[in-house]
Amino acid sequence: MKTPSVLHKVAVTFRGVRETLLGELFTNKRFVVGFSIFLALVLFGYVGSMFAYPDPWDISYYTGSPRCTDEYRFLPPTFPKHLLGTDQSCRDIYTWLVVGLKNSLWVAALAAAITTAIATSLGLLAGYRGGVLDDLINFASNFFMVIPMFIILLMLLAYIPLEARSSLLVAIVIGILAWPGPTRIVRSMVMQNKAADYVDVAKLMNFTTSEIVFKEILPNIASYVFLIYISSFSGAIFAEVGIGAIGYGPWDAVTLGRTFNNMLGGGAVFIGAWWWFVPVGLVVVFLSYSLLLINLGLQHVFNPRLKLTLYAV
Amino acid sequence: MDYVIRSENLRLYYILPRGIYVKAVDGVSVKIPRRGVIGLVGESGSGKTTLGEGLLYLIDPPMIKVSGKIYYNIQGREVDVEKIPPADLEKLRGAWISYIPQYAMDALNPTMKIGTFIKEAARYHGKDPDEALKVAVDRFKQLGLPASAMDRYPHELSGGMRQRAVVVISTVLNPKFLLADEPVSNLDVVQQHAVIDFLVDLVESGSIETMVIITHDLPLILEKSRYLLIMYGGHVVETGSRDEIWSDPLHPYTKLFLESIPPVGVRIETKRIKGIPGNPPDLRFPPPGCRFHPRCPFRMSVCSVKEPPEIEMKPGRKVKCWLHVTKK
Amino acid sequence: MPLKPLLVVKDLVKDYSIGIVGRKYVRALDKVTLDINEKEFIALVGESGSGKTTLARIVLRLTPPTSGRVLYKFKESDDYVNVWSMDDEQIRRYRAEVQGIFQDPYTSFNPFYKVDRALKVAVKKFLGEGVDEDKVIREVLEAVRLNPDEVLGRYPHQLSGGQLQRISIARALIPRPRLLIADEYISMVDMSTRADIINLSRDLVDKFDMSIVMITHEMNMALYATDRIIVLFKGVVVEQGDTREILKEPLHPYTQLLIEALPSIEKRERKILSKTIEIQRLGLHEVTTGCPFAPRCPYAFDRCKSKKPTLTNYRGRHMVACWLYV
Repeated sequence: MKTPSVLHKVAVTFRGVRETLLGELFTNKRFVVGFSIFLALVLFGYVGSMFAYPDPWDISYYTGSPRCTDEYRFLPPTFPKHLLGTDQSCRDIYTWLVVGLKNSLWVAALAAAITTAIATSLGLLAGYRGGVLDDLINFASNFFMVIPMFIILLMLLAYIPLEARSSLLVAIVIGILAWPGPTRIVRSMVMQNKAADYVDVAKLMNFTTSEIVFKEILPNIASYVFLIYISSFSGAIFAEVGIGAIGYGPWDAVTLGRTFNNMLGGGAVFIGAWWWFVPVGLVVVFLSYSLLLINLGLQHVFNPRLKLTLYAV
Repeated sequence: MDYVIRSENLRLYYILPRGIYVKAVDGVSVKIPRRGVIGLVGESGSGKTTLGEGLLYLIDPPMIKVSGKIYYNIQGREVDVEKIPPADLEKLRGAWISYIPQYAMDALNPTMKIGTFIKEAARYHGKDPDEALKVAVDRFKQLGLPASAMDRYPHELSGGMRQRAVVVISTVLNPKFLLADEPVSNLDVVQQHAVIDFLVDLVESGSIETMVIITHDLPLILEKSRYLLIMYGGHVVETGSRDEIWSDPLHPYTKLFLESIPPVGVRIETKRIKGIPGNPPDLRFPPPGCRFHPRCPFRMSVCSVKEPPEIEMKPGRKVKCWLHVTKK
Repeated sequence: MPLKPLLVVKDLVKDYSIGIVGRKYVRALDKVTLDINEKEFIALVGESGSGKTTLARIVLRLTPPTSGRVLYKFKESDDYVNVWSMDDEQIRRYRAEVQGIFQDPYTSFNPFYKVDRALKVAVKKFLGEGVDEDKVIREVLEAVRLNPDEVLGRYPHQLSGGQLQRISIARALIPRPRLLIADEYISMVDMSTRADIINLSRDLVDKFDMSIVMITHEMNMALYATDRIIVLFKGVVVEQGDTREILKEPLHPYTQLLIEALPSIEKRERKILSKTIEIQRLGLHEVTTGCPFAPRCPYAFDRCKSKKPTLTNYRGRHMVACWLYV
């Protein structure tokens, strides 16, 4: 039996989740800094692309012909033609950077959406239904969680023929492979909610199971689903840059990983073309840093309250 | 009146995000008398736990001391707590003061067996660990806990057992002063009496000099204590000896509270027992004037405007109410 | 009362398995049999571990029993239907006639919604679409002595425990139930305001033609306002009868204990309480056979420890399960 005064405190903490969550997030220093940097990068990617050459592969815009000649190779930055110079195949580095950033962002956005959708549905199913289904999903998620996603990703992508390795496919694969962690989180939140008295009250009110799931439980976990999306997004970016950097990224489009890979393969460091590797490196570093700060901010807001362990990459 | 701890105009607030303050203790001047069982009674939104923590100078964020003073009366000398160097305060706490917070049963170190914990605690305070363990085993038995509990981890005991264990552990070093916050609320009736009587015995035998029990259960503490402080809405509204409060409650809250408990044998058909109408105040936005006035059947116009003064009817007998201003 | 009871619980057993393999189990309810009549305010008194909440959940059709029956007589009917064998249509009708309130006012409301929603949902589900929702809600809030303007439009955390429990009662009243199971509904409400909720409950029984089963661990509210008391200990009904009878002559040592333990300023003799504390000091040896109270009972003798006493009539409706009275 708890005494009323403590309940008052609990209730105040439990305050309209909608109401306080965003407020608390945006007063958290880490989150705000991370989010600002991230926003700046998104703008850089999208707005910057407006000033880039339309096709990262087509060098004829400035050379006049599709063949790369030494005249246009390894050029240092010039304004306004090549803001960051050109690479070993006469391609404009600036274009590769901003277009790569933009493409990576949407691949991550799609992958995160897929992960969130899977986690929410499986989590709800396992958490609310319970029974054999829950045992199965729980076991599977525990099993797959231990296997490093990165290795599996590489193995899968290595098997796919080059032409088929589109950014869409990569997004889907990354999205699906990230399912175990978030699913467990959704499941545990659903189970917590399910045990609350208001679910029993709903049963007394003749609510059907789907009414309970969608009207009682889902609204309370909605904020956490949002969190999971952000977390998955972060993981997806890292995954894409990671596999792209070693050459297993999408083949049909330029992504940040690809840009990174090209930079390494083109010998940027070797020839000392700092205008090439520094900006690319900085973008990757800032992107990672901002995502890390966002994750830390999220953890800080959520961890003490509800003992939720966010899966961060 | 010989007292152990005294506060002067103590204000303890909690700072919430966006600059909102919870005024849990809002101008409290009390004297905790020496010797015996003292009850600090209050319901939800009274601030009693905060006052307890404040008197022990356990003030941590988000709680802040906005103003006021706390004095300890040690060996005939009155000392301002804030002027005591931290090292000395630590020693004081170990040797003289013991505290059972509200959720102590959940705060036992899960990686230590109960017996180990007791020995460690004794060692830390410079007392003989084996002696302490012996005392603990003996007292465990008094509360129906087996000696084998010493070899168990906290999670191996049931909730009720943990609560009793925690109560005993806090008494093992025979502190001069013990503050217990809701020590028996989650126990069954038999154990409630057993634990409180156990504590009362320790006080009566002199092992513990003064014991303050914070609770919302007015009937129970009335039975077991000798002096009471009644809190409402962040203020101490009445103090007095147990008999004075029972036979002549001065503050309307005390009076109505006492009248809201059906005595054994009274039937609803013969006499309707009335509760206090309304709700406890929100300590973030307390009502103006007297905190109790929205619910008070005796309120006068001044009550909703000005905060009532504290009237000392006689030493140790105080009431914070406009009704008694003229009566003096 | 010559009328047939509203609800009959017969030989109800509930076992909970503990451990992964499920071999060991705890028996929460051990062949519990009792009736609930119309227009009755009953107290089901028991402490934690007595099985009272389990009983409530089984009657409210939330947790299935291991064995035994819960028989309910619908409004215009003369026959009993087993609650746990009902079809969907019967279940819907059952929910309209048998409602429940839970202990914790703050978790009884979904924090995501304003409290209005709980009431609106009840109206929609039980009274249909063609009803003046606002009027019904206002009426029912006034019936629980709340000012609608003070509570409507608020979130649960903005209201006190007492207010929320009253709103829960209001919510439960919307379908005009014949039976309300209130599980510890005052234990998380300020002590100084409990009497009013009990008075309200008494009035609801007298004026609304309904029965309320108040599950509590506190004897004093039970003795004050109820018609009948059923005392539960470790899943067994140890005593039941008219409240006045029990007050005059509590039979079972446990009942006597509960009454003795009530605080009082005058020095009262607490014979059983002190003896029970003594027994606990010497160490309890829980036995699996015999009367569940025997290990704690100051009057226990040999038979108590080996054979379980059955609930038998003592006088009129006053029944007790104790070898002292056989």
